[in-house]
Amino acid sequence: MNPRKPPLLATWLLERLGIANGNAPLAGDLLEEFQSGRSGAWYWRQTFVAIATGMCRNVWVARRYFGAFSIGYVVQACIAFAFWSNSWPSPLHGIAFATVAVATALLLLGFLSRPLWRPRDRKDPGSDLPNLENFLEFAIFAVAASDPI
Amino acid sequence: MPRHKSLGEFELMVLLALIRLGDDAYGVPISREIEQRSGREVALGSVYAALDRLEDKDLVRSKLGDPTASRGGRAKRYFRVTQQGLRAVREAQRILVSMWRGLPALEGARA
Repeated sequence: MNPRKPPLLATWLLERLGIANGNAPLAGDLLEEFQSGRSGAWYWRQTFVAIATGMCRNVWVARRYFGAFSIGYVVQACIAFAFWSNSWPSPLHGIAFATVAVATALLLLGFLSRPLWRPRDRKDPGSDLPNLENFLEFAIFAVAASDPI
Repeated sequence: MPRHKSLGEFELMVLLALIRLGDDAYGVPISREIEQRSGREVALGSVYAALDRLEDKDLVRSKLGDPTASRGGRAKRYFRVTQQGLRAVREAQRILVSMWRGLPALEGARA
């Protein structure tokens, strides 16, 4: 007899959003429970909770990014204000240069420090592999960093 | 006790379930144990979130088992309580018992 298959879309979402950073055993536990008789609705509920808690956890883990970008924006604002208040020549060139320099430095700093962060499961060799969530995280910060004043 | 080692209610339930289960403690039996004893449905994601927090506090340790086909090729993650975890549970018990002791309203309800 073939084992029951859990909802495909829920599993797809779970693998890309809810179990980032190598927490694959959670997906295995959900599958085990589903195959022991839990309903599809139960699987969906568990998936949503796993995604929500995983995202909350990731926001906490990414707090260094948020802190770094907040500092970066303050620095950019100070530089822009200095150009504006002193009427220095070619302020746009200066602001653009400062924006690019600060954003690049912060992105580099963030990615260089990433291996130092404690992964969820240090014994899982796949725990630090990039996935959709990492990509989205990078894209959001890249867009935020390239936003000119 | 340092502030970062303090336990929330759910974390304490997870730690007690781990102590009860011994070597066979992974996500499914932990959540079933809590469900059976508390009488409410427990989300596995919440259990893992609590276990991650406890591991960050060095109150539990985890190791991966072997992947099995019945779990879609995914391994079980086994947890066990550390000595620090046991101390934290004892401390929580001591505080709660101390808070409970000598409350007339609760003693009346017990009769």
